[in-house]
Amino acid sequence: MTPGRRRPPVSANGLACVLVLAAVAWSYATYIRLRLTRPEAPDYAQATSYVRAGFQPGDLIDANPFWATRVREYLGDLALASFRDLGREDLTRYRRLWLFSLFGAEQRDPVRRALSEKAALLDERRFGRIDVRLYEVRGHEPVRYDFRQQLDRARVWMQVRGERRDCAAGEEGRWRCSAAPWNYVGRAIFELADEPRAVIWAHPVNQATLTVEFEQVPFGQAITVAAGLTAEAARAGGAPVELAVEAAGRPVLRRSYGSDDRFLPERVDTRPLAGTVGRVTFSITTSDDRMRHFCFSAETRG
Amino acid sequence: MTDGRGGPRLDRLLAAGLGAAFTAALLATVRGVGFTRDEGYYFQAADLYRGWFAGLLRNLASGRLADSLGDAAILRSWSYNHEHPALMKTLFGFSWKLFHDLLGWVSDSTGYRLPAMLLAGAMVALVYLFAAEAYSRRVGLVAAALLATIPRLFHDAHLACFDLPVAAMQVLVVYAYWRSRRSPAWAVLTGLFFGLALATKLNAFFIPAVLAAHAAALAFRGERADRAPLGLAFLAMATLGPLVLFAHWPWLWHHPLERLAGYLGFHLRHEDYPIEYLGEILSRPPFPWSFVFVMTWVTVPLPAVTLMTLAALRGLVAEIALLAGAPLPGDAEAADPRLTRLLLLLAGLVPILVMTLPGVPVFGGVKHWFTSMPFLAILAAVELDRLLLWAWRRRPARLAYAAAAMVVVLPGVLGIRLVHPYGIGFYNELIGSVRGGAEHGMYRNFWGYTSRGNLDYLNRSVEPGGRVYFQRTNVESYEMYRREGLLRRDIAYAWTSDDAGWATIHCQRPYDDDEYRIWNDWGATRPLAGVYVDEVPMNLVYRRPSAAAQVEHEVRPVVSRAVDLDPQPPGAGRRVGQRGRE
Repeated sequence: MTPGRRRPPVSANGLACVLVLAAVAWSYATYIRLRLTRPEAPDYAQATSYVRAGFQPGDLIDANPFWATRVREYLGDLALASFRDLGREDLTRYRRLWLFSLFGAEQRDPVRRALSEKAALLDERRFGRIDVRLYEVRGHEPVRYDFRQQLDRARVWMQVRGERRDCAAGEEGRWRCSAAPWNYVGRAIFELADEPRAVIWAHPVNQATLTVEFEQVPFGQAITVAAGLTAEAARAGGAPVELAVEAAGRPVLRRSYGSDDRFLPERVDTRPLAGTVGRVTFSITTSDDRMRHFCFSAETRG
Repeated sequence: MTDGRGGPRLDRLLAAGLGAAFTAALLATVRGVGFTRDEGYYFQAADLYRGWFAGLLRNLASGRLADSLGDAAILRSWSYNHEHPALMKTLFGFSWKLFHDLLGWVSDSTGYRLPAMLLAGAMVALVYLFAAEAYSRRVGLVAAALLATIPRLFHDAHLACFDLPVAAMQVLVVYAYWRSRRSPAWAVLTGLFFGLALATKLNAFFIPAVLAAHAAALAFRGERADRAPLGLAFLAMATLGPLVLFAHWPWLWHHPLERLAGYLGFHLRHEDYPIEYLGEILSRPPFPWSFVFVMTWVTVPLPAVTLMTLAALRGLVAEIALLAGAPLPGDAEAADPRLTRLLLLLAGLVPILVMTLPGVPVFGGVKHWFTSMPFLAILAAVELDRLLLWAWRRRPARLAYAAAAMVVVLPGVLGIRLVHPYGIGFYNELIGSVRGGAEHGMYRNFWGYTSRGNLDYLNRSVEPGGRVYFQRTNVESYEMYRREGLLRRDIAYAWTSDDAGWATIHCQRPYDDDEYRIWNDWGATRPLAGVYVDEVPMNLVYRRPSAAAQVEHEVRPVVSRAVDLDPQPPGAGRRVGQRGRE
């Protein structure tokens, strides 16, 4: 060492030793934590029995964190979601939310923030290593008419150069519009905006307008419409898809959907129509139908 | 540089013991490891190739050799799966014949898998030998242990695939090259081993670049004594390499250039499979250059990858300083005439750096750079050794050293214990283990192997003659499950969920729509059984509520993938049941 120069307080070897020791310590701490936080079968049995006993129509269970979905084996026959981002979801169609949490995920900031805005805590229980919380959703707006559920009552056709071509009714509310396997309108569940969404598949067709029309729709305070492209189509990219909605003969929504759209629900105010019944028409077009796996969902509310 | 008593003989014994122990560990744990998609194709290729050899023997005996050697005969047997060289598939076939069919020592599938497991054992042995000869016996032992306890590598070492074998071959070539400086025989062997590596998998084409860079450094530093044997090693690689590749692969015999070009062209234009990475689906180039670094950092046990990183950084700094003519103070390897550290750095880092190129396919993840791991494991062991000696200020007692090494190696064992037999889903402690991988949107499933975990449930539950949609598990793997007795023979393979009464779904995000289709079409949203690793789902079983709910194909189009949904998909997808390639 040069006289007069101070030895550095931490040598490279010392730093390396600290790093390795930290890595080793973190490793063991991780494996101990995994063991200590993993729920056991009795935890599931008790927690899911409790939820099932208290579950009511209009409730939703949210598995939290989103990937911990063993609870589906117990409660998968009930309304159950596993949202990646609870904050961006519209919960108002549900009356109550059961938050079924593992690994302390109920304490995470995004979850707490989302629920403090959207819901009020009614009850909280702990079953071993599982946390169950029941919330009442703020601003609940019950669903009066779910267009997806009523799809078998719809009329579906394609308008091609002025000519109307009716789509053939099939089972389970599917409407086949041509021999092309993708060219139908039907109930489906696809990943859209990071979540599995129950939607109406309505792939647009070049130089045609695909129309889905419902009669005798009971109007409420609003119509909510969410639409977008499946995850695969969004990745592939392509032309935008236009959706136009008419209610009782009046245009109420016209919107263009691209690959980046996040399936955010739009609320169309229908208070003047509330209490009446009428026709609702969805028209879908695009300039280029390649990989345009377009889907939408819609409901009348309130 | 071997330390302690016993000398090279003891080292060879220890190497053999380590290799045998690793192979034994693989054999003891192989039964639960499901068959990957590619294995299904390789089982079939192995049978075809073995059949050709059997025909060759028959024709040889009857003097009709031309019947086997004509191009038409060769094409019948060797055109199947010609996108990979034939060495391993041929070994799989012979191994099956010998160890399963004739001797009955192992099960059907283990008969095919055994050569890869033996080569994995050989790799561990070679790593020990290389490190023990270059550094010390204790470094060799730690290096072998660090390598053997990488959970994803441990998992893939069970498979009748090529990733571990080519990693083993690469160690063999580099080791032979390293020894060739002092022995012309090793120089010749370098060429022979390079040929075997070429005959194993495409990765081998990068080996000459690694060795050439090392040889250039030797020349730059004036190591004149090396030139003759080094030249011989490269001459052997240039001659024996292509010769072995050509000789072992009948498919090349009649049209060598055209078919070699076809082989290389397949990989240059390889289809990209979608893979989840940090919550995004990567489905086409350019892929993020960081993929290889991030994946390495979150899939190798944390103490091991920390040591590997420190060793690589320290080694690079030291080598740059040497190159600049100003060796770092205390650099014990500065005087090494064989430039061992540089060789290990090149062999460890080049396969990783190749993966950073934006067009290189990243699907399948870490297995594509397993070739790096043996060399990084040696460097990590050297680094640990150096740090322990530094910390103790003198050579520590053997027991203390062993305890310290165990503390570093054990997290890998814990990782294997946590995930086995679902090792492709392993994530390390840095990201929060398997849970953390799921949380951060990292793929945990590939190649359709996790249905294995639900076979017992299906055997107990499916009605006689019931049809199961196995989703990503291909029909070849399904057939092997039946051959092995792991799946009831009356259970039928359904190509789509439309034809099925049951389904096993692999939790693999790019294919999640298959599960949602079952929710939608069957009205079944409650899995009846599942395979979970630390509460992270890997594979789920669904049952169609009733046969009456079967849909009518006349009205309901069969839609299983994008290609069915769209007339002109820009990136054509793959229908379930079509063949995938590694």
